[in-house]
Amino acid sequence: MGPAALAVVLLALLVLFLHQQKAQNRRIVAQRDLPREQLVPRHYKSFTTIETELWQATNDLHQGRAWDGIRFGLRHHEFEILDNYLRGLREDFQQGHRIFGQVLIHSPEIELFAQLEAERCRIEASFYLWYALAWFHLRTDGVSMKELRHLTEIIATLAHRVRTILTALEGSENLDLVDSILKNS
Amino acid sequence: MHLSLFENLLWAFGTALKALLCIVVIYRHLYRRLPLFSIYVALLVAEVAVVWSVYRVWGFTSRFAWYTGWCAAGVVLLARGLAVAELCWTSLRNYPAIWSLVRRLLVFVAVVVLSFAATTAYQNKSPVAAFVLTADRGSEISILVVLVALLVVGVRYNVPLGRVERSIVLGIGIYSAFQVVNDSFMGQWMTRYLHWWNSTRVIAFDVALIIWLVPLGKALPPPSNAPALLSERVARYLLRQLLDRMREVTDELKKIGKARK
Repeated sequence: MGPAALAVVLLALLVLFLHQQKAQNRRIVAQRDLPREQLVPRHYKSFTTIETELWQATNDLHQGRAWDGIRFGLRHHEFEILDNYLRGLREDFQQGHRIFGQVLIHSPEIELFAQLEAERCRIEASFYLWYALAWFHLRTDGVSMKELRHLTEIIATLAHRVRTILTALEGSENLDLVDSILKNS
Repeated sequence: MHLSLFENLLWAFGTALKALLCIVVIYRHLYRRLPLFSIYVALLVAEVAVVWSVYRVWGFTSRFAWYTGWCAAGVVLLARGLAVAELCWTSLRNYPAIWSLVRRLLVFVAVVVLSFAATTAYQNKSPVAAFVLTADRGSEISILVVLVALLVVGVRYNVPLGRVERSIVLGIGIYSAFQVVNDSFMGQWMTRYLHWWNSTRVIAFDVALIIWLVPLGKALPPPSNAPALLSERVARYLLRQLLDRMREVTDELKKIGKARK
């Protein structure tokens, strides 16, 4: 019975990953004509706007309290704004993460590739830990401005590094490669 | 004992599908893109011709038919394994480090699974059929593991398979999974239900053949452009820079984490 169960599980995984590959193909086709600005992380830039919006919406309610300590998301309007922002941050991360992936598969040697992949996994684990915390707080006792700022800083750092490496590639006269990385990520 | 009418019809239908697939593979020039898969398809037709002739002349349950059947199945199984290796190579050959890593991983997985199957078969004191069945099941599981590993790599590094390759993976995967399940349930009662067991095998394979035929109904999509490549020297320099940048990101993430505490 063991091998039969294993075969069924493997078949289910096979179908799942084939489905994911089809979705990847569709995404790559859909973003073929998008301008470059939309192919790099960008949602994190709206943090100031979100902060201002929340400030204006809740100024009267939280007068006299430290801004960083206030927890948001318990009211419907706040929840929607923050939930959309968190989703945008996750998209930003995934975009940056895919760009890193597209760059590191060009590695000519296995040791360098393994080191790059290890760093990529560390960044991935760290982001998803903070993201899960913020997501959970938003749905329970509310998320604080401080938490959101931390998450935004992570994405901003990642986005900066992505831009740096793309600039370095462009500087080495590999414009085709940069284009291919962005379109296929 | 000879084949029943139902089994004859099933074989005829399967043979027609195999012959059709062989013709379509030639018509669509798939042999240029996937030569080993094309050889596998040609061997399928040859296998049917040989095995069916032997069954007709010597009978379905004769010793000669039994040996011919399993030998032919062994050759086709080997060809299927090579077709799977070809799928891995065609999708990852442009990425030297990743292909080298995946190749080692795939060989390791295949060796472990096949060794396990061989050991299990060796410990089993039942007749030769049990040995062949266990080895067959081990090969089918290793093919499934390799295909899943190929797809995982494709998803992780955005190296998607083409339309035809995806359908080949699905067809082989479905057939291999069915074979393992079938072998597991039918192992002990194989002799009693030999006809039924053989028929379900044929039906499962017909499903795979139909899955392979569907995308070949249209002209083959042009092969995806080879990714833009970097010279080895530039790649090494730039990727070392990237590694430094990524380490900086990790350090900054640690600082952010500490600041939060």
